[in-house]
Amino acid sequence: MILTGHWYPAGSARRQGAELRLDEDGFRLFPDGELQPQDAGGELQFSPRVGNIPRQIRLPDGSLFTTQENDQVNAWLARSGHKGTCRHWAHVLESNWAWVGVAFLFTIASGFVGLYWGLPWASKKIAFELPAEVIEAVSSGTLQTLDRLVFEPSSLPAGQQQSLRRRFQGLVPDDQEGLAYELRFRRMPGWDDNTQIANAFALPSGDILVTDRLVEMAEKPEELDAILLHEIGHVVNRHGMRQVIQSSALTILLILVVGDVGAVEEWTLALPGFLLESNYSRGFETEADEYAFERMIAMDMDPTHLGRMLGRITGENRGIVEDGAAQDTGAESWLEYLSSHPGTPDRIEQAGRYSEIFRNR
Amino acid sequence: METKQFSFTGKGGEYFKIWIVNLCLSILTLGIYSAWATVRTRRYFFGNTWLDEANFEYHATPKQILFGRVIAITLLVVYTILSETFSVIGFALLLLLLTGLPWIVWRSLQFNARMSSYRNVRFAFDGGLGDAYKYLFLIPLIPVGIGIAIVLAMYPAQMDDDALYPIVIAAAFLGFYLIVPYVQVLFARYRINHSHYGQGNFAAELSAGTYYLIYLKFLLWGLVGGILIVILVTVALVAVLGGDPTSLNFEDNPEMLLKAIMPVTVFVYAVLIVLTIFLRAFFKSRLRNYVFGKTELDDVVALRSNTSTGGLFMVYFINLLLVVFSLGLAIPWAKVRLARYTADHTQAIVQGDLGQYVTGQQDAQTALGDEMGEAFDLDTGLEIGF
Repeated sequence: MILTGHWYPAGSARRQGAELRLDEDGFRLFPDGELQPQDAGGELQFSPRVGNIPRQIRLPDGSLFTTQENDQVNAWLARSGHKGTCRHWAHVLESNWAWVGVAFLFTIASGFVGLYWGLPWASKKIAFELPAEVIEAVSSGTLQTLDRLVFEPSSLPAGQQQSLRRRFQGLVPDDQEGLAYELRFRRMPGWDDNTQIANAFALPSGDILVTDRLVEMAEKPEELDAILLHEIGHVVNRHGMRQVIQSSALTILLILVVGDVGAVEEWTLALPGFLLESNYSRGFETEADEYAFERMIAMDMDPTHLGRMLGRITGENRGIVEDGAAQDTGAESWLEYLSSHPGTPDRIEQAGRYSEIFRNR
Repeated sequence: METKQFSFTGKGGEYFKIWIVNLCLSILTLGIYSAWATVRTRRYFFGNTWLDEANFEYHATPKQILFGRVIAITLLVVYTILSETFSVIGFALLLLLLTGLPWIVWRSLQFNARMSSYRNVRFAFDGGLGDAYKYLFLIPLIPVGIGIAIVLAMYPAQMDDDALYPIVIAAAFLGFYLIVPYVQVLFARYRINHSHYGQGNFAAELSAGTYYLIYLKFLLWGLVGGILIVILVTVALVAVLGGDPTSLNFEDNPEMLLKAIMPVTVFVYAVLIVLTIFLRAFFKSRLRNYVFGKTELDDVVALRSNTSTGGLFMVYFINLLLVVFSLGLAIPWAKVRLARYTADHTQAIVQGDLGQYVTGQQDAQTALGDEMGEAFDLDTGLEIGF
């Protein structure tokens, strides 16, 4: 077989047109049509094929022959059983549409499966392996930050705080898994001085924060219990830690997969990341709701209390915070994908379903 | 004297096949194959870039890259987890990383230069580590220190700490941004003037004034764009709300707020995207044209670049649409389009014999710095136009 291309002496950029003749006995090189004597017994080194870029063939004397006749080179390698052949499997996959199709489907499927089930599953595993000390260390920093940026000290009377704390101890799960559950009260101002926001937060350590306004809004003690059980559900299921692990992993994955895309604006990556995290977050809310419903049934409380309380909070906070408002105002349903919480009507409906189970048992 | 045109012969469909197989095998091997994937990708882009009927080549082996990548990923994982959980430790770690950055950049420059060749002759970079620290660490910190010192000196001692804190931060940032163009020109000189092709030397006489001028124009365009957006928002709000915006009472009618804000937000977001792409295209094309125009290899080759803001803008813009609407599957076509545009707007004026060059002594080297640089996406900040 005769390959035509260019030849460069070892280490030099001096280029000559050349022919490389390959046969059973070995090879012969003809720069500018004249035979170049070569030491016998040496082997040629072939660069692996990538697309159709010129093939680099290194001669035993260190000189270089390059050719664009990739197909002939491959044919000769296959025929001669040269040891270079085994390095060409990547190109075999890349040049066969059937394999490319398999790779395409596999990549799409594994991306979908990994993000929808794999990552949540793995982060759950890890979160439940973490010792309580780590979880506590994480939370203490968060509480300090929240106190500095969002909260003001509670103005509820000490006696009321005391009795609510006592009631809270009855809601805490029997197995605390080394976490110290504690109820804390804070005041959360709205946009202006006259408004306050009703909300509750759970830190991974078991610290549960309720705002003064939320306590005021509960018409019955069971309604506050329902909210607290929802927050305890976040702690029991380690949602805080799972969220940290998931978003860390997501950041790394996005950098790895699309990190070298110089052709695309980097910040377009923020949107898929945001959508995925909102999706994970909605899953956590639903899980915490279910936990609250089940505990309430076990404790002989009507699950409908959670629904009613949620409805009232959303109603009041509408216009102060946007959470949940999007669904209520009948805006397009795609807005749901942007929200960190499931729609309040859905959650109330679910509470109704559990309430029915409660009443019919 | 002859003007030779660079060209890029890669094709979107051909690269897509390589890309998807790379992704698939990287997933199957839990990321290990990504080192092989990187080499194949680089070889594809280097190998399809031509000048004077000869192409470039990339020579790193996957094992070299894998070694660096393992270390880089370990660091990245530790950093991400720590910074998400303990923000203070994360910040301290970031500072530590910043002190290591010049070293990573330096290794990366060396490695990538040595692993690249054209016509059987390797490139090389022999800049000193001390200079890397000077340009990327010491000099950027000087104005930060001066900014802080001025604020502290000018403000009375009884000043409230809470108010002083943001002012000091602002002064530090202002000092830092004022010196960015200067640092960039120093770094570009460092990078080019210590680069070699075989025994040949690259050289570029770059002026800091031109860099500042490009930055100034960039800022002015940004300002014009910003004003334009403010006007557009006002017009859009009036159009959506119809007539007198003050007559609306959002408190009684929260739906109104949502209906009014959503379309305007989407619209402003779109305009903002177009503006950022335009600014980026302007900045990159100006800088690249300037730096290439000044770069020479001995007295044998002089480089030229004639990219334009409009041309680059169209490439970026269509790439963005391609990638967004294909959910990322058109990334290979986007990369090929950019490579083709860049090559098509680069020339070399050759007035000597390129055949005179020979590869110098090569030392064995690991890919540590290179891959660390990649994992932390160093390219963005240090862009000088190549």
